[in-house]
Amino acid sequence: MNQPSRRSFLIGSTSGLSSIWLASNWSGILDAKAHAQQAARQPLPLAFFTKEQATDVDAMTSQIIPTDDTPGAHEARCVYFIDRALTTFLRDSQPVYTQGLKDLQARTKELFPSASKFSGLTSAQQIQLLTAIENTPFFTTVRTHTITGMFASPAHGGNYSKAGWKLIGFEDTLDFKPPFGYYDAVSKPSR
Amino acid sequence: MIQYKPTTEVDFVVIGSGAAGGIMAKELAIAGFSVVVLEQGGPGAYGHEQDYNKDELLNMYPPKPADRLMSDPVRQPNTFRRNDKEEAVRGTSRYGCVLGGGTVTYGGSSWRHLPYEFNEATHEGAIAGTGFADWPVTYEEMEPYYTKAEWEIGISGLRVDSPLFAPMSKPYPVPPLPMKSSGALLKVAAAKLGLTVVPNVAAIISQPYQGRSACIGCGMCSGFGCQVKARSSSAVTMIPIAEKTGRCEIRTYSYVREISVDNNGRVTGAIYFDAQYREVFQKSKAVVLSANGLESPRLLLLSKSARYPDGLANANGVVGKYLMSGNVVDASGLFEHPLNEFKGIVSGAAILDYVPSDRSEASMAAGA
Ligand SMILES: Cc1cc2nc3c(=O)[nH]c(=O)nc-3n(C[C@H](O)[C@H](O)[C@H](O)COP(=O)(O)OP(=O)(O)OC[C@H]3O[C@@H](n4cnc5c(N)ncnc54)[C@H](O)[C@@H]3O)c2cc1C
Ligand code: SF4
Repeated sequence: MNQPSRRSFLIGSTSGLSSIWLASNWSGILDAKAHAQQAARQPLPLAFFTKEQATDVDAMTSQIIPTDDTPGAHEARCVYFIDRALTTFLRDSQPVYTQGLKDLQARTKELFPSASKFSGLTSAQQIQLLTAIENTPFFTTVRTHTITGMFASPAHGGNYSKAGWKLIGFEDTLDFKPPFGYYDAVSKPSR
Repeated sequence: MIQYKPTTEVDFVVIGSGAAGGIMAKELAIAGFSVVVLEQGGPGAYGHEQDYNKDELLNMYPPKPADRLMSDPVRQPNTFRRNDKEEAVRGTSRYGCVLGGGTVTYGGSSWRHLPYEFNEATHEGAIAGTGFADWPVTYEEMEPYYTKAEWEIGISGLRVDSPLFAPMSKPYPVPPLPMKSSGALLKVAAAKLGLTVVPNVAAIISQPYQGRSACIGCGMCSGFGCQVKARSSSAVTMIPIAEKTGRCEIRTYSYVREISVDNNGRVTGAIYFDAQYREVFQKSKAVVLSANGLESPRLLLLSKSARYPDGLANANGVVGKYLMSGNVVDASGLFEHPLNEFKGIVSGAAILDYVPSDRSEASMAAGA
């Protein structure tokens, strides 16, 4: 049963979202829909990351929201959300990624001399490394962006096939009649 | 829509188009006065509400920052301190900043104050360091206006016969919205503690009313515009009526920086920046300041003149002091079954027992 821990993780993760990363430049966000449609076709073009960088970021996001019996950040294509965001509304975060990925590379070699890149490590090694950097601005930024990419509208490049929404049982029909959930369905009418 | 020249002296300039400004514009225009409403925010989706978007990112950060429905503490910074000895720190306070003000995006809870609250200071006694005072009006005087507002604006709710519920001469015009799973859970838990849970009273209609559609429970509610006009905002209730009189002009993207006075200390109009950041002076016989609890005192303080060196209406020096914000505390928990709180309005239920009321009466009620 990974459900409760995943849920509490999400609850703990979402506070402060808006203040941390939604703060600055959002022009270009409207092009997102076109991008998402394009991103749905393979192979996916990258706007900011090199292929190697994207592989490392994808590996990081996959540790943050792992794939298990349900889709994770990889299936939701969070890396494409981040990649696109970094060339449009999140331009200000570019240096965090450029430097952060360099440091990640260095840290990988330092901890695992035989390895060449983060994405080549075993899952246990990746977790060991990420645990070591979990309080750095780079990691917290990637974490916030991963969660946002997972659950923001698919129009922005992530949450592919509504993977994030399906995971938490969110429906986007925007038209609901009661009963809404289990408890109001079983309770007696209030009036 | 009628357009007045800034040099034409209108009867009223109304600053802000929110809960208060919308009602003022409508009442004044209906009474036959010429009115110019100055609103710093944009028009939102006024008149084409179906276009309100429900994308959380786009809603918060539209391509044009001036089109945000809520004020942006980055573009309009605010700072806070509890007293003048403390160093002020940046705050993140936001309010509705669009035609219709806070009522466009608010959760819509619309409770009457209880009779007790109108002279609470008399009941409770002074509280040191505060401006705690009775209201200059009584509940009995306000009651007909509450009724008028509830029926004109469109409020849903259930009249409850209890000393914890303000007495009403007329029920709400439309029945309450459905309780959500959170409300159902609250009700069960509250009953164990002997507390009373009732449906929320909301400025969101549960049935078609005055040509507007009922809430479809879309769930992207507080913070978003309502795409079916179910939320009874000033922008879908009061302002269209004001405009229809042909006497009221609405100017959006109009940021007032000063209320002007002449040498006799009488108001002459308002100075504002228009959408192109040009300074404009609109002449008027009177000004209604309805720019909300934060911006109204600020504008009074900014409106300094030789006659009023400390700002307008500030002879006693308390303008901008004793500001009290509404505090929100939230908690989350895990439940066995899905609640699906992403559906429906924000709040479907409320506990009555914590309202300020005459404790002796209340405990009698609780025992009954
Ligand atoms: C997300 C949210 C949820 C809320 N939920 C609830 C709720 O459930 N129940 C409840 O009772 N209250 C709620 N509120 C609070 C409620 O919206 C406000 O208390 C109410 O709207 C205040 O009315 P007002 O007319 O004083 O000011 P507002 O409605 O804020 O209107 C003031 C208007 O003046 C404009 N303005 C300000 N300064 C200037 C200037 N210098 N020049 C020109 N225009 C200016 C503003 O842009 C604004 O449109 C909520 C508020 C928000 C933001
Ligand atoms: S929940 Fe109802 S009132 Fe709120 S925005 Fe959706 S339809 Fe409108």
